[in-house]
Formats: sequence, C-alpha cells, structure tokens
Amino acid sequence: MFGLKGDWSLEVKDRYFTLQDYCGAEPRWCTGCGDHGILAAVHRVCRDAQIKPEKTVAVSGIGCSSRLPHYMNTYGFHGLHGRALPVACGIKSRRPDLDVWVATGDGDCFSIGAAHWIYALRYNMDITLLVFDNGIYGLTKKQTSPTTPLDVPTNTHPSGALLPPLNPLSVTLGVTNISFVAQIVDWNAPLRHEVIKKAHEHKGTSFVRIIQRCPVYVESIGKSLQDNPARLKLITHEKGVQVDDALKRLFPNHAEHDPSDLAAARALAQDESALPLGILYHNPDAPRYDLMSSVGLGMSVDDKLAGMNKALDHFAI
Amino acid sequence: MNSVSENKDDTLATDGTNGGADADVINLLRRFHYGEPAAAANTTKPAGAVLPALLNPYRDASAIRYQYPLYLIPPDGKTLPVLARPASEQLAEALDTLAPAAEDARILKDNLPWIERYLRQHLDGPDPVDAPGLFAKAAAALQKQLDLDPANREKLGAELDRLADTIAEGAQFLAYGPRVSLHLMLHAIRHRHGQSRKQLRQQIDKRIHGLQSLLDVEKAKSADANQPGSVTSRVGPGSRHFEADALSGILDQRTHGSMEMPAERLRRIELALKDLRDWEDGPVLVRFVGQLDDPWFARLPELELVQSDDPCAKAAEVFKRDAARFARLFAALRIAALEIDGNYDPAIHDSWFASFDWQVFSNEEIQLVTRVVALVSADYLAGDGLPSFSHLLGSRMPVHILSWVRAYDNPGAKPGEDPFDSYRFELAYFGIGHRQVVVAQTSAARHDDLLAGFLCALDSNRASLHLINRGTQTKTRKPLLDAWFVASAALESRAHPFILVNPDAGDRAAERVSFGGNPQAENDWPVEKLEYRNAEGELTEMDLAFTFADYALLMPGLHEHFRTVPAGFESDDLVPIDQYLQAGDERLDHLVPTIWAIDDQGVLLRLVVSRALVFACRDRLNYWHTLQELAGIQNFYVEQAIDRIIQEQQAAIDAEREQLLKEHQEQLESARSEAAGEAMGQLVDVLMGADLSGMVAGGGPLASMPAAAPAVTGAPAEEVAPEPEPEAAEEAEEEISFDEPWLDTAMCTTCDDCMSINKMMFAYNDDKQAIIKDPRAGSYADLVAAAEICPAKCIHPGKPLDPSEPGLDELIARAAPFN
Repeated sequence: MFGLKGDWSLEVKDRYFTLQDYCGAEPRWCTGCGDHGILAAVHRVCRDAQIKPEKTVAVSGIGCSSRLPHYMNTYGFHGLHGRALPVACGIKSRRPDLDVWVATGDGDCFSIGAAHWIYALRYNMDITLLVFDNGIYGLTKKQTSPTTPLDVPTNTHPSGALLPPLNPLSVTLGVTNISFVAQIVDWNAPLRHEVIKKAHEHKGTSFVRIIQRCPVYVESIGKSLQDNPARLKLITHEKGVQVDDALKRLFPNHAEHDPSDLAAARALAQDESALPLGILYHNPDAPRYDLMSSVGLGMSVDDKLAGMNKALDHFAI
Repeated sequence: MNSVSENKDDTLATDGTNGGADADVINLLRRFHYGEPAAAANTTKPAGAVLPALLNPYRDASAIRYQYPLYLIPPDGKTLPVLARPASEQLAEALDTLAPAAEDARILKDNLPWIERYLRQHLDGPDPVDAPGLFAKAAAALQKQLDLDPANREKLGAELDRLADTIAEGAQFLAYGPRVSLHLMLHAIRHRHGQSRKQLRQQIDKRIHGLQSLLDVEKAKSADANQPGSVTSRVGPGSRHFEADALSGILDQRTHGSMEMPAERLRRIELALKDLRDWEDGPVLVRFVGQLDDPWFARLPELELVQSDDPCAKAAEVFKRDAARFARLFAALRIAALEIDGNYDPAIHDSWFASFDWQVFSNEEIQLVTRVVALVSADYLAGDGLPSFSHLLGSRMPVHILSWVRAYDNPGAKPGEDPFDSYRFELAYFGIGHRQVVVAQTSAARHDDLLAGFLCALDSNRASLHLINRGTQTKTRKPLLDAWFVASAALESRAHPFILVNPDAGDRAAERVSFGGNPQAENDWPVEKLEYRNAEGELTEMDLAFTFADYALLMPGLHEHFRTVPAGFESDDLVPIDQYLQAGDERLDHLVPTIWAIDDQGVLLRLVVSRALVFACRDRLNYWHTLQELAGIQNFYVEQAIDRIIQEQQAAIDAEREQLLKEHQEQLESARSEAAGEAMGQLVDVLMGADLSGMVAGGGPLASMPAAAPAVTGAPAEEVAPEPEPEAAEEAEEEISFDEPWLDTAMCTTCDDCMSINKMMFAYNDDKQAIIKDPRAGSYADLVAAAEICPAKCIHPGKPLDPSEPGLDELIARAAPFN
C-alpha cells in the first residue's frame, strides 16, 4: 500500500557493535583447531544481528569447546562438566530477555550431559546450542568420546574405539518437541556461518552439531572427510539454507531437503553413506517451555504471596 | 498487524437466542444510516484513535521509510531525467556504488538508517536545507553516537567522506510539508529556465556586437572619421609611423562615392541596439501571484511574490506585462538578426514588428518569458474566481494555476454547507473541459508524479492547472497519521485520483491522458489484505477495499457519519461498503453499509456509514469511472467492441468447426462403405476358393484375412543406429594459473594456522577471515607452508615474487597443487 517499497521499515539502531565488541580474551585453542572458526562465526552472527553484548550470555560445560565464554565479551558461565544446558535453561527461565548461547562438546553433551541434552531439547527454550564435535576428549589429551569413530586409537582404547559411534542426529531427531537440528563442518566457512545464523534466528532450542577438527589428537577424523568430500552431502532448501553455485561445487553430493519433513530428516540422519550438512529439521511452531516457565516474572513478592494464599485457601477447612 | 484482534466483548448475544435484541440493534443502526437524529443520538460515534483498518500499520511514521525527505538534484545546465529522488535511495545507491561488496563499508551501511533518521529529525521545517551541510552534521553526529574504537572510527570517517563527496554542491534535502509543491515547482523552473536565461544573455550580447559592427562600418564612411585626429586614434600606437594628414587625405578621397546607410535603417538599428542594451537580466525566473506573504519565499532572488485577491486575473495581467517587455527584446533580437544578415525588408517586416506581441512568439521565445504561477484555493476556483479562472484557461496564455485541494471537501459547496449535500465540483474535469489546457491532478505525497505534471506544463506553451492534495485533515488536536500518509490515502481511496492530461501529446484522450500512479487502476477500489486474530485467537485474513468512506474516517470532522457496531454484534445485513455499492436496488433497503477500523489498542471495529457518505462514495466512484474511461481502462465501448469481436470470432470458429465435422463425417462414411465393400469382396473371394473342411470354431482361419495387417512386416529390420558416441571426452577444464598469491577469504575458517606462520603476511579482515595483507612481508616458503597447512585449502601461493629465494624449485613443486 502507498507505493511503499520492500524496505519501508526504517529500523534504526542507537548503538552499534563491531566484531571487536564481541571479542573477549585471546583464544588459547591450539593453532589449526576448528574452534577458532566457530568462535569467529558466533562473533559475526552476533555482530550482524547487533545483539547487545550485555544482553547475551554464553554458557558452557567442560572441555576445549567450553572455553568459548572466555572469548566472548558478553556475560558467560563456564559451568560443570555436562551441565551447560541446565544452567542455560535456568537463565532462560528467569531472564527470557537474554540471548543464550551454549557451547558444548561431544563428551560434555553426548556423554556426561546426555540426560540434560535430551531434556533441554524437549523443553525447547530459545537457546542456540552448538556442539563442537571433534570425536575425542581433547582437553584431557585423547580419550574415546561417544562419537569417536571405530578403530580410531585413543589413550583409553589404544587399539581403537570398540563400539560404533553415537549418531547425535538420530538421537535429537527422536526427541519429542525437537524444533531445530542442523549439522555442519567447521572448515566450510560460508555454510557454517549461514547455518549458525539460522540457528540463532530460530525461536526455540537450535541444535547444531559441528564436526570439528582436532589437528593435535585426531587429525585423521577431519582430514579423512576433507580429503573425501563424497562422504558429505550438502542439503539445501528454500526453507533451510541456500548456497551459491560456487559452494555447491565443493560437494559432490547435493540434495534438496524440506526441513519441515521430520521423517525425511530422520532418513537423512540414518543414512550412513554420507553425512548430511545443512538444516535437517526445523519446526518454528514447537511449544517453548521458557515462555511458560517465565510467566509471572513481573509479579512482586506480595502479589505472589497473595496468589499462593488464595490458592491455598481452596484447601482451608 | 498480528497484534490486531477481533473485538471479544460479547455483551450482545449473537447466537440467535436473543433475536429481539439483535433486531433492535440492526434497526437502530439502519435508522442511523438513514439519517434519523434519534438513532444518531443513541448510537456511538467512533472515539479516540480509530483508523481505517488498512492504515493501522502506519501509525508511527518515524519507523517507516517513505519518499520523503527528498534529495533535490541541483541544475547543471543539462536536461536531467530526474530532478529529485528520495534521500534514502540517493544515499543507499551512492554507497552501493562506492562499496559494492556486501562487506565493504559495513559500518556505514548498517548505520545508514541512523543517518536517514537524523536527516528526518533535523528537517523539521517546511523548506529545503543545504544537503552537503546537513549531511556533514549527520556524519559528525553519527561518529559521536557510535563512539567507536580509533581504527573503526577512522575507517567510518573515510567512508562518510566518500559518501559526502557524492552529494552535489547546491543539492538540497526537502522534508514533507505543506509547501513541498511550491518548492518542487520552483525547483523545476530553476532546472528548465535557469540555463535558458544564460543562453538568452549570450544571444543578446552576440546581437549587440553584430549591430555595433554595422554602425561602426557606417561611421567609418563619415567625413569625421577621416579627420587626422580620428585616424590617429583608430590606428592606435602604431600611428607615429604614419602621416596622419596624408592618410586622412587618401581616406577622404576614397569615401567619395560610398553609399551611406538609409536614415530609416540606421534608426531601426540604433533602436534595436538600444533595446538590447537596455535589457536587464533580472534574476526573477517566476512570479507567484496570490496571497503568499512568506519571508522565506520573499528572500529568494529568482522569485517575486505578487499579492492579489483575484490571482487568476492578476496572473494574466502580470503575464501580459512581462510578455510585452519580452516582446520588445525578442523583436530587437529578430531585427538584429535580419539586419546583420542583410535580410530586413521594410515592406514585409515593418508591419510585422509593429504588432509584435506574445501571441506570435516562437516556442523557444515563449519559454523564456518569466513564468507566472497563480496560487489559488479550490474554493476560489469553484466560487468567486470561477469567471477569471475559466477565462485564463481559455486565454492561451502559458500561465500556471496551482491549487491545493482538500480531497474530503467539495470546493463547490458554499461556506457552512455540508460537502456531501451536493455533487462534488471536480475542478480537474472542469479544466479538461477547456480542452487545450495541461491538467495535472497530483499529490504532494508523490513527488515524481508532481514533478512530471510541472515539467509537462513548463515544457508546454499552454495554460496549466495543477490540483494538488497535501494530506490536510479537518481540525484535530493530534493527527493520528502523518500528512504524507493522509495524502497517500486520498490517492488510494479515489478521493483524489491521479490524472495528467497533456494536449501537446495529441488530440485523442488515449494520447493525452496519463493515469499511472493510481493503485490497482483497473478496480473500483484498491483491495488489500488485512491480517488479524479472530475471537479464537487464530490468525485470519480478509480482503478489504479501501474506499472513500475509509478516507473520510481520517477526518475527525466527518466522524458524525460513522457509528460503531456494538462489540460482538453480527448480522448478515451488515456489509462492507464496496459490496453495498454493488448491490442491486432490491437489497439496499435491508443492507447497512460498514467499514472496518482499528483502535489504538489494536481492536478491530466495525463502523456503520451514513447514507450521506454513501452518496459521496457513489459520486466519487462515478468520477473514478469517468476518469477510467478517459484513460481507456474499463472502457464500456471498448468492452462492448471486445465482446462483439469475441462473439464474431467464436461464431466463425463454430461455423468452421461445423463444416469440418460435416466433411469429416462424410469422409468417414465414404471410407467405411468402401472398406466394407472391399472386405466383403475379399470375404467372397476367400469363401469361393476356400477349403472349408478344416474350419473349426474360434475363427482361426479369419485370422489370416488380409485385412488384418501383420504386426511386423517382413521388411528387413533396419539396422539400429548406434547410440551417438558420447563426446569423446569432455574437454579438460582449462587450467587456471596465476602469478600473484591469492587467498579465498570467504572460505577461511579462522583457524590461526597462517597467522602462526607469518603475522606480517596474513591478517584478518572485518569478519575475522584471513587476507593476504602483504605478500612481500615473508618468503615464498611461508606462503607455501601456509597453503599446505590451511584446513580450508583457501591459500593459493601463486609464483615466487623473489627469484633469488633458495630452494625455489622444490617450493614451486609443493605449491603446484594449490595453484
């Protein structure tokens, strides 16, 4: 109407944040570690969205990945092993106005934190959950993790991991009320940025598994995928991510996948011939527990007491 | 829009259990519609911040980017296709040109809306402001606001400087306000006439020089000119080498026998020369005639304000006065040209120049005359000023009439009269009735249409009528909508449709009339979607027509024509007004017309419309249909002709089909009878010569009847052509090689590997992705090592820059896979 053009909404920001505004301490990750790129992507997404640093919280558990809050110039919580998600859910319940990021790893999330992982996904609070999956306990110098591939030798299994690795995608896609599942590799910067951006935009728990290189302890895991891109499958869709032709050429396997199709997402997740990269599943309408658990935050203590007394009066004799 | 919800108040039962109350309500609303005072008193006028439903999203104009403020492009001596454009577009496009890649000048791109808002906030006056100066202030304010670190501050400063350089000297910013049409008219005149005035001055000087030369030659023939003293002065410094007396004597002898110019011609030349020399290049390009007593305009040198109670008559007088002054000049110029070329023939030209006036000006000459613009009210044009208005339109004088029109009002109504009591006086149609006049009904909210109307008029030598709506509202304490949106709503609701009639374009309406700019011009009313949440909280959508009644709701003074339907009340008799206007007469007695509105709480309301306003809607719709037909849209004659042609074509097609079917049937019958005859003949032949002893049931022998063609003929099977050989081999992709080292920054994973090898050679950009900062800041070995270790394989070392570096052969071999 009125001949207004597509850009008719004049959105003005009174504060502006550069990349530097989101950068905390100098990262101590090893040179060549995939974590550097993930951190850079998070900084960029924050900058592009111009989210306020003082309204942002980075939460982590224990592990290499979990050093991320130190490198963010935002609020941060470097928590207990496996307990990043309970902390994040607590923050979101009491401070729904905050932008919550969770950095966790394959050990922290899929092993000791597995129960919290499942329930955080089901709660579907508005959290961006990044799992830095390098397939190894790197901080403690090379122990088998839930996603260590078969036959990769570690200090706990010198002759190689004995069991097939956990498939985090099929687990997440089996959780009730799951709303966003994606997978990327750390070494493809454009796809990495696009998916993390979409994950951040999603209102609900966005689970992003990032296959990440550990060049120090298990260089072979990342290298084998880098050297053989046919083991990867790029999935794109107008409802998911779309990439330019130059990027598509890097992937011999490419499929169009509608991320609203849960059954198709599960099939992709279980297909062992190639690792899907992109957004597997997205349901923007899944119920969010943070919207329920934060009801009544504005009430005063007196109001709460009055409410409780009124409720208890029902039981008075 | 999602915050809009249906009124959930269900104090009135609508489930049929309270039929009596429902009947009372609809009767009361119907009685209001018919104008019964008691019903009007017992129903509720819309109160508070109620807007037509479709306009609800535009309550806060500060959050909406629309066409204003404008960037006025200064005249540069050329005929520019665009004289003004939205400042937001101007700045964004300039920045995109300066920094085409998405990541270039990111901070400035991200903060361009802030600059836009600054400009809007600091353009609160109604008049244009120097663009470079205001932009400089905005740039300084942005730097202060962002308070960036020194590196980014410096970078932003450089970006702002580059953007500032794109703003032309003399450019202006203009906010939306009550006088934008005057400013844009003045702007158009500056563009069109500023340069032509300079060219006129050059032409005058040239003619003066030519005439003076003629007089000098004539003077040289006189005896005085040959006196020794005169000769000495004419020869100048070299005169000491001559004997002035002797030279004077010789010249004196030579002038004997020279023809002197006839006295009449000499006088004509002297008079023309005097007129040319006396001409003063006043700065005034335009005279505004009317009741504009404004210091801002009064101080403009190119503008003269002429006060008058009868501007049309005064404008004609002022034009004639100016034209007479120019007539002397143009006559002098023409005489000069004829005299200089020796073509002046008194027998032909004397009488011509004796009556030389503006009526015989050439197109170019009339364009040079000072422009005269009568500024008048619509009430004046339709009232006391009507005779002089009509006279001016018919006078052939290229005078412009500019009038501000209140779209809700009727300029033909007498003071104190209800504007809906009579059919509206359509001034544009009155102008069109004068046939030879440029008529532009435009809106200040659409600067491009407004300027198109002005330029059309300025380029024409005809009178012109400009009827401009500015978004004026009836008196209200606090407008709910910015004036630009009110003016736009007038255009949308057909209250003030856009039309431009240019008689220069041809004699037919199809050639003269421009109708672009009207939204959904093929419809009676524009139809838009409204999203809201219904009583159950579900997101719902409905199509709404934006009618004149919706526009009228923007005028607090017209709220008397609306009554609120009680919350929760529903009835099949309540219909949207666009449907009501289309309903047949037999239904009108039952139906009650309504529009949808939204209050400031986002609640959807239904309002009943008075019968008087419905009449006004019909009147506007009728005028809209008239304009549509003029513009060739929904033209009844054309539609009839199309129907007739379609019917004729269909009839021809049907006849042809019929004929073909008939022929086909005949051929089929003929083929059948021939085939039956042939089959019968063959059957007889078979039976006559057949051995029937071996015949068994089942029809086996019949299978060998010749009529049954074998499935496969005995023809030798053609050799199957071999599949075309696939292209022997796809041409190998041409190998790309390059000398310079190159880093595909977009693919960098920020792993720090290359940084750890050489921090002088590699650096991070604004997105913290690596670039080659200085390829000479390290060895080729560094580059090759970085390429090898890079996990994204995005470093390409190229060829060594230093041929003396040791071990190059090995390094080049290692680099090869990455180049």
